[in-house]
Amino acid sequence: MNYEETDQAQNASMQMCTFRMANRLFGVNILDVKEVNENTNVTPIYHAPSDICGYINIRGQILLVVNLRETFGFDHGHKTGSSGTSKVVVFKPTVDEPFGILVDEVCDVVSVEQSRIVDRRAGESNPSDSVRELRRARDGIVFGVCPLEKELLLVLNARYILAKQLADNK
Amino acid sequence: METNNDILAEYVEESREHLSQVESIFVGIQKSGEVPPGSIDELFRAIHTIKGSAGFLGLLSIGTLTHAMESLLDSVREGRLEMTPQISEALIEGTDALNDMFDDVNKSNETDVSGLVSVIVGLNSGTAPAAVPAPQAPKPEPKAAKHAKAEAKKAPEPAAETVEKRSVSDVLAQFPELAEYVPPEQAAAAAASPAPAPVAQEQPKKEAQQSSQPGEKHEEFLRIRVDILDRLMMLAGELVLVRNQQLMHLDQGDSTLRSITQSLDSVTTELQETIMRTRMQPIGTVFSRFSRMVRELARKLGKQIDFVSEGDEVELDKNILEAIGDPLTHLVRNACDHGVEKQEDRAAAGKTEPGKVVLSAYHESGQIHVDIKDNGRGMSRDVIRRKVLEKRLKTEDELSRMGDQDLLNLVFLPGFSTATAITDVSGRGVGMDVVKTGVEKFGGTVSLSSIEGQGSVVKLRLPLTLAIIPSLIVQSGDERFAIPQVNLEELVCLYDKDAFTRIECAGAREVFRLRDTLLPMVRLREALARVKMFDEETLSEVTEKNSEVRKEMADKYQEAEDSGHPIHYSLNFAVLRSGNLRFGLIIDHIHGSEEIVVKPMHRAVKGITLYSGATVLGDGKVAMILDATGLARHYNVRDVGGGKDSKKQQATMEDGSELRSLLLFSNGGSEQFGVSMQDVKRVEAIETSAIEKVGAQEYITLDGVSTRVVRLEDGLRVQSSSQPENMFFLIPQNARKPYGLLVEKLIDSGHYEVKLNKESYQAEGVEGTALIKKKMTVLVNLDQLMHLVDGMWYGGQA
Repeated sequence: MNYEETDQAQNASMQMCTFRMANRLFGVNILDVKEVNENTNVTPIYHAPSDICGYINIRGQILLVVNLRETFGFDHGHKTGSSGTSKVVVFKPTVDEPFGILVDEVCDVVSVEQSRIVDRRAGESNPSDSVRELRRARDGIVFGVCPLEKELLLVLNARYILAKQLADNK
Repeated sequence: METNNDILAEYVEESREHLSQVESIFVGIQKSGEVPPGSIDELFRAIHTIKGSAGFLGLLSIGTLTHAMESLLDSVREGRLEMTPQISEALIEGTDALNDMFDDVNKSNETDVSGLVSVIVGLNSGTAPAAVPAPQAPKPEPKAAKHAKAEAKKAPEPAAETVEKRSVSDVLAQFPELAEYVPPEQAAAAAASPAPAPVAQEQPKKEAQQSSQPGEKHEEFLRIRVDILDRLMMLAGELVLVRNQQLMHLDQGDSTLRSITQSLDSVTTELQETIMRTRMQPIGTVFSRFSRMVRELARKLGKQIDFVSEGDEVELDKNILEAIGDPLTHLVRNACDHGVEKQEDRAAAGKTEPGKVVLSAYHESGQIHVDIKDNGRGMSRDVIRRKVLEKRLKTEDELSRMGDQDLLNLVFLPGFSTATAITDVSGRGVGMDVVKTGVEKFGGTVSLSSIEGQGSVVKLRLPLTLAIIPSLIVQSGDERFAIPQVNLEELVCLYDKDAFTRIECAGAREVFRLRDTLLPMVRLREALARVKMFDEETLSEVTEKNSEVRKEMADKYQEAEDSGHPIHYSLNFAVLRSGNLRFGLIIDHIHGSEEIVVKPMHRAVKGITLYSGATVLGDGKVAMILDATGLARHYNVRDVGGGKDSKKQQATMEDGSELRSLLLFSNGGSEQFGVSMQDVKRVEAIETSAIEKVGAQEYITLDGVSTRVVRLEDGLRVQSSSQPENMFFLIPQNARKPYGLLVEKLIDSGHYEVKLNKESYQAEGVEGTALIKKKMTVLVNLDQLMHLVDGMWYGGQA
């Protein structure tokens, strides 16, 4: 589960749960994902940072929903995927206190070799535009980039998503 | 090294359990004055287990002390010694010292226990020779003793196993008495093959349990991790929601399905209740620590104080139990330090019984009551008065108007402390204030009563559980919010014209005149919309904006009314209290009350002061729980009214008139009279035929009390009453003797702007006159009037 364990796991493949947000393809380690839910009935939390959508109730459990669009500073407005409604990717309790992220559309599960994930923090002679954009916005959340057949997959580290809020709280 | 720390931590935890067992046995012995059979064995086993592990963990002081205690207990057990008060006292002291050492177990070796040990050893040896003339004499419980011996042999054996860096001989050197227990070859073998520590520690415990006598009541306990319990609770919550959905989609025609659903329903409910109960713990766990504390305090203060706890079995939510620890500590300390007097003072006051502090818990009307009672000197009203004046918390004038209870409640004011000297026990001037806020924080209340010279009682009222709280559901914009019922004082709804005329501006903020107080208003909508704390600028901006809105509303209303199609407005606000602050929270709708399950805020949004948590409402939507304190702080609410009980609150308006709450009446004639509502306790409708005459005075019997009847015309030169059959009787608030004012007709009551005129009509018993409801009204001062009517009878007492 540790992204940094690259030595032995150089050629190990990682299952990625991929999703689309603002026309970009993102992926998170599928082992961090608990479930995918419809985004219904968000209760806004006034005074919370702008990238926090609010609370939703999933089977009696209250879940914080984060809007990464805001975090990354993507264009506003909810563009939804083919299904018409946005979805919430819910993370496992091992990742953080219960929370999920708002995505436009959930895509396939992709298996990628860890060696193909380019750690954007290393050798970044010619980083792609999207990576540069993300770097400006948030550190740590984007773990690396993985070129797929058709497009780039931005690999996110779920454990860092709420790091900024926590830092702000202190 | 980490494993060593783990072992140590486990040992400390286990030892604490043993110590609490020991303490409870001693408390039992002290309470009943006799030693229950088998209790000495239990004591011995507990102390022995602690000693067993102390040795190999290198805890020398603990080892030495427990060894001495064990030997003493052994003598008692074997019948060589009687369990005298001195012995139990010494053992209790030993237990206290052990408790202290376990507080910081790593430094325990620095603690000097030699004094205590020599006392205990002295007790043991001093009488021992006399008591052992016949070694072969039948012992009270030879079997149990043998058993314990066997254990004693076993205990050090696993002990040696866990020693890593310390050789067995080292340990033996420190504890020569252990040598006889450890067969050398066993110890060596054990040292060679270190076994996992937990197992080793479990062993003596298990044996101790096995050796307990048959027929003894066994209670099965299991330690469960709190997070597993929380998870269970959450799952039960989910199950409830699933059941609700099932109920919703139930086809009523299918009887089989219906009965299945019904059993699902009942099982689910029961499951949830049972899981809730797992969080409940007996309050005795908190009470038990006070027996030790009182003992220590008594010694430190040189007083003799008995401690009694009642209702140890009353169960409370774990969170509340944790939260009341501090307030209770404060209160018990207060009772010992300020309440109970020194023995010689008690004797001087004619009190024969020793000082006593009683903690009792009981259920009443869905709440848990905890009383802290002492039979000490009580609270001196004079001292309170003096302190309040000294610290300028209230003025003399205010004090003179206060009732006894109000006076007592002054001790809850921040910055109040009656301790004449700051001792290390208490008296830092924060005491009761901290207790009050601490208890109120989790929805409890504190009240106080005290009789000078006889003692004080502090009553705490606590909710059963924090997890489920009654609350009011309100709406602002599209969102619903929950307001905990404990913060809620009342709801006010203003209709039509009132909706925009009754809210006024005072400086930069909006206020409402609620009876005799000026209530600062908070608009939830505005508070939610602004992340930044409100400063004067934002406040005046908001106030201005809303006064514009009010003006518009007024115009529209007028227009609509003129056109003959009136529109209806309404404005709701909830009066909230947080600490000493009261404010009105303007909301859009009120939905009603609901019992909600409180969930804490996610740690990423915990910093937001507006909320105290979140909850899932009946329809499955999440609602935020508003925090009154946070809200007040965010909106920069300050107390604009002053204390509730002071007349200062009759806020003075710009033109010198003041808002007062009055009861208006007439005495038959055309004159209109008024009295301050605060001065009236209640109003009775009476029949004049029931009035009896005794000499020149008239009396009426109310609730079995003969009450003096005073007529307005007795004291004032006003038209006398025509004496119809039905009249009204005003009973004043601060009467020292039963009396009341007879009036003919009640006109109205309410808030009136009073511009007092003292010149036009001057008489004793009259405050002055004012124009109320376009009529000249004589404001009667009840107190003065009574003086006037019967100076001897009433004034003589004053």
